[in-house]
Amino acid sequence: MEIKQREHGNIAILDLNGRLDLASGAMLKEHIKKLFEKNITSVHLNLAKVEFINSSGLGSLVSIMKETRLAKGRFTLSNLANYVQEIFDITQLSHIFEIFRTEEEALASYQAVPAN
Amino acid sequence: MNLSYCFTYPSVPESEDRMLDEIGDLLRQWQLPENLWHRVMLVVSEGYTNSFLHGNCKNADKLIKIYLVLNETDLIVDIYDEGNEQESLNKIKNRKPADLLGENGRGVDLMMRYADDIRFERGEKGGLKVTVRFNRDNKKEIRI
Repeated sequence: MEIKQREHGNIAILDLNGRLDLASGAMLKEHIKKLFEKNITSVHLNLAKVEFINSSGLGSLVSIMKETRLAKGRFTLSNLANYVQEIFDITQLSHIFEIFRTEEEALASYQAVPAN
Repeated sequence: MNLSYCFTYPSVPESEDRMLDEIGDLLRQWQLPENLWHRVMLVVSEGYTNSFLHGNCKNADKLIKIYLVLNETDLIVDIYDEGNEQESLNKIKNRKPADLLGENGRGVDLMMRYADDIRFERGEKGGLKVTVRFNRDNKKEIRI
């Protein structure tokens, strides 16, 4: 999986491209750990180009969400493919993640609900 | 018509990508409908991950074998590891519903959701054999 990083104010936006599974999930966690070390605790993932996700990929996202909450930041997701959205729905994870239809909607939400 | 193929992988992190590439390509060659392709990829991926983490415990000397058979009605996938079958079966039998904030424990439930049939039994070399069957006519939906 490829990770490209952009910035929007103090929010890191990561564009993921490829499969989110055991190995790439670990890579993503490592990437975000480095952001936390730079005191960047608001992270948005644009999943438009994620073509596959399994339970290991989901687990890595849950881990990141918990770390973000501990750091008093926010963790948002957008542009989920139908297939990816379905996996979130059937595992009920769509209830605990902040999921937006588009990146623009997600970023707008940071103005309404900033990180602590 | 019976088509079959076998893949073997060492239990190292790099195998995961190779496995998904190779099996994804084979399923494309077999011209499975998109819906079925996604279901099989997810289920095989979950089976492979269980073999890697819980069966073979990431031991690079232990292998994961995946046999695929396509016939007129079904696609059948057997996944073998070289771990301890009894320990693996106990973990599966005694598993609890996944904690919503847990990082693990969703794989077997996803396999059961998307396969038409799934069986766990003793395989080669004392490891676990997982057999999943997909009915080619089953219109079980996955959003694509």
